[in-house]
Amino acid sequence: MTLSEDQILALAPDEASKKAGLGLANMSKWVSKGANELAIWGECQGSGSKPYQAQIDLSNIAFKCSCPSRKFPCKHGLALFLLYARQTASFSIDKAPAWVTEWLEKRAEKQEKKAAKEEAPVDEAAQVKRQLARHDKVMNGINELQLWIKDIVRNGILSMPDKGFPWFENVAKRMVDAQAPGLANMVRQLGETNFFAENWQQPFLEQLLKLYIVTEGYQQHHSGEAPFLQDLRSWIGFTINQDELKEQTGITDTWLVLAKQSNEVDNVTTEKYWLYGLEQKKYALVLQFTVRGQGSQLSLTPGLYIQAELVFFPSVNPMRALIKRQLNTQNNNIPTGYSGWDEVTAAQSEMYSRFPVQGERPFIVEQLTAVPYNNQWWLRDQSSRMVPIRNAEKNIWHILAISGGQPLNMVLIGNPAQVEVAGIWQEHQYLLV
Amino acid sequence: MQSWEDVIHTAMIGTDKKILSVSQLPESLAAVQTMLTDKSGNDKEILYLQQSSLLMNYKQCGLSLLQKEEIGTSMAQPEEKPYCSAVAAQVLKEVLNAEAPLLLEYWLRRCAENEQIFPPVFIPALFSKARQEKYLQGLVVRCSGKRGEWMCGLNENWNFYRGENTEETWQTGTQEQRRTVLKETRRTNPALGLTWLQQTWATEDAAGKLAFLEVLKTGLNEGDISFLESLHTEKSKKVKEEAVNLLKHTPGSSLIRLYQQVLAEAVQVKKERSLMGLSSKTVLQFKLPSSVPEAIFESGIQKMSSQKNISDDRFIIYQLISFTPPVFWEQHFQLKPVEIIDLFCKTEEGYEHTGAIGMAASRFPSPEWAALMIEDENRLFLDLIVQLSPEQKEKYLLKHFEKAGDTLIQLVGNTTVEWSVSLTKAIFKYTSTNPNQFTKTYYRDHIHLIPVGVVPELTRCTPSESYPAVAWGNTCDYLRELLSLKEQIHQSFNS
Repeated sequence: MTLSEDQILALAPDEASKKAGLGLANMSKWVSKGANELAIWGECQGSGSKPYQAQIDLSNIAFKCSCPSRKFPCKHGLALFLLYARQTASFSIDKAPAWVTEWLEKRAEKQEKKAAKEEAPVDEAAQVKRQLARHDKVMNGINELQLWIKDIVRNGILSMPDKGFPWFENVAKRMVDAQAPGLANMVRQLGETNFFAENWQQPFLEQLLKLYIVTEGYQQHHSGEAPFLQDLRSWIGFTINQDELKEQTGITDTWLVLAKQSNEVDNVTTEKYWLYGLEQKKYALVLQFTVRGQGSQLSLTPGLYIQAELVFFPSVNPMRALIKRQLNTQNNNIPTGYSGWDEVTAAQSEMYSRFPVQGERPFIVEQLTAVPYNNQWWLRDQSSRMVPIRNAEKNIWHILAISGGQPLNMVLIGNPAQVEVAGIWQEHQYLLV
Repeated sequence: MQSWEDVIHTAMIGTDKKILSVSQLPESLAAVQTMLTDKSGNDKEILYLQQSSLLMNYKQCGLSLLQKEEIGTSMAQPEEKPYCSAVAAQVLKEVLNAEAPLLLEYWLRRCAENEQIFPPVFIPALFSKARQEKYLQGLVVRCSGKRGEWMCGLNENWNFYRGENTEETWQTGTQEQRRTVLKETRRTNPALGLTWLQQTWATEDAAGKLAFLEVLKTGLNEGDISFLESLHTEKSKKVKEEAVNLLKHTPGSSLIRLYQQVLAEAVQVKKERSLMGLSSKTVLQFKLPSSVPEAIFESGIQKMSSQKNISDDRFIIYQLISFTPPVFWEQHFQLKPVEIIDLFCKTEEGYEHTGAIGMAASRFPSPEWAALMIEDENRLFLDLIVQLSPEQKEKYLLKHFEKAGDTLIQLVGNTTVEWSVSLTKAIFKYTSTNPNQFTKTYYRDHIHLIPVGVVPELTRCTPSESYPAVAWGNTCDYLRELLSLKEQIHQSFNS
């Protein structure tokens, strides 16, 4: 497995861990270190008498360390991985010590047990009762929300900037009470509109209309068999039993991790991993939620290729998926993307025609050049079509420094109206920006 | 899209006051429109929400992107210099993580000396650093190659002075860039620098004039005298004072000639009889002439002594000596420097005035006088150190470190040449006893001066007291880390 330093650092839980990991990625700090095709291990001399034992499972990246840190991975794990990336030759290729093989065996056992775990018998009658009760609650919430939306439309949106956070939060909380957390998030996003922007009316109205489409759609189709019902349920906040989902056959492919986005709200970190299947040419979104202080199950890093079976959540435009099985792979072919913006907009239009409310999505577009126009940075394709870059100040100088003004293949996240650059290919190497 | 504009306009004022008419929507949606109108009954809000939702999806499905062929995009020129090695680039990454700007400067200097450039991926990080640490700008631009030059043109925050087109920079640059370019020109061609300043002098404001006069200290010479003397008519008091200050540092100026005239009269050789008139000795007599030109006091020489045991006349002579080039005494007495100092030292007042000669030797550099003056065991002439040879300097510093560590620590920090291992040990023995004053920041900011060879000596600098000893242990870990990077920099450019 070959990961770049940036990719390894992207696994760090925070900036402090990155810095500490970099500080320890020094040969003099390590008493012993070794590696084989399954794992990397090493002993780092800390402040105690016994060195800390750090190890990394390479087949399905996972870390373990004997240090008392609650961070995951800890600085020792990161440092060991960094050191391996920098000086692979200095790692002995001996048989792994007992403390490594024992851990690897335990992990394998755990996975087998997990796979063999049988579901407790389900009380179907109680389940139906619960579902009906929730449906009623959601419908009541939707009725309330629609009245609120109609009030806004009747009185005009000009007064919205004066409403303030509590006005929107109050409605969002009512949606949480109505067991519609998805709607609550949509209301919060509506309240988070940048009212200081010159044309705030447009994004505000678009978000309001999305809320209307979802609520109206559910009211009209909740009992039907419409193919987009699952999308409506997902936007409202109904969850899907992931164990049941895992029982379905997924799509096995070599997946490239295109980008990772994470944010933390109320001690819960949400990590979004955007993936692309090299053979099936499908994009996927894998979500991971972790409570602070708890270890995460997935350790994917942008630029990493994995051989995996992904099961997609039901949708007319399947995007969210979960990883059923994951293996390490040596495949590192560069994916082909859309040849230009026309192809991107055509694909996106198709998605909108199936379901008009879409979240962000990734796309790989070939031969894009960053150009300034009208005090803004744009990405221009080979046929001179341009899409503005959102939050360009974040990485535009990095992109320009690497490209030197030459067109590059890029990974973008957003929609064809506005995108963020997540990564670029330079001389067959995937770089995060 | 006009229809969408109408939708937004309606949303702004509300459906209570305005409704969307079918004619405001695209013709291709007419059939659906009719269906919506029929279904919504009389609910204006529902009709509006349905019409707008329909139009939003119509708009997003047929998104029309901007197409601009005429926007000119520049490209960076191909590089002329080679990139540094992968090892050096890796070390650069670690240096950036260490957040030690002077170590970064050390890396850049090695890169520039080797006529190499750093990989473009570092440009944003290094340009941002150079924006904060201005002294890095020249090196960063030089080591960023053609790609860096191209990027300077794209970001106005990175419009650093590149050491090219100096005259153009002088004419059109920012005040800071103009100061830099004037300083560099004065260093290499003082006459040209003066000509530039004279050409634009009338158009500069008072603050600019003062700033540029301060730069004129670099390369100050007799050729500047007529310009500086013409500034006595300037309106700004500060400008006039600075001009006089510069004239006081320029041998040959009418002011210094005036000082010399007064001193020639005030300091005379006198024969004194001793041993009951059987022998005589030559001593100096210090006596101000009865009338001292007022211009002398106007130039900043103080009339009154602030100390009771020093007379006003003696104080005036002291000041005048300190602003007179020591070479004047060689002409005045027709003696060698060592003989002149002997002569001065024969009386108490004369010895007092050798302090002023020491000051003069730093104002009007003369290595011979500097070497002579530092032999005075009772006085520290720190300003003279810059004129000494490295061996003389080291000897002088080591000799005085124990009794004047506080003063010398400032001085050694301002040098540009790496300290020797023995001097570093002397410094560390001093700094390690005072961990509150000399924190990690001190060592970080002087890392360019600390030799790698001192690493084995670090533990020998441990102070005897327990608290400073523990703190020194931590400092040593930090120092080893930085010095290891310094060594890696050295190796990566020499392998």
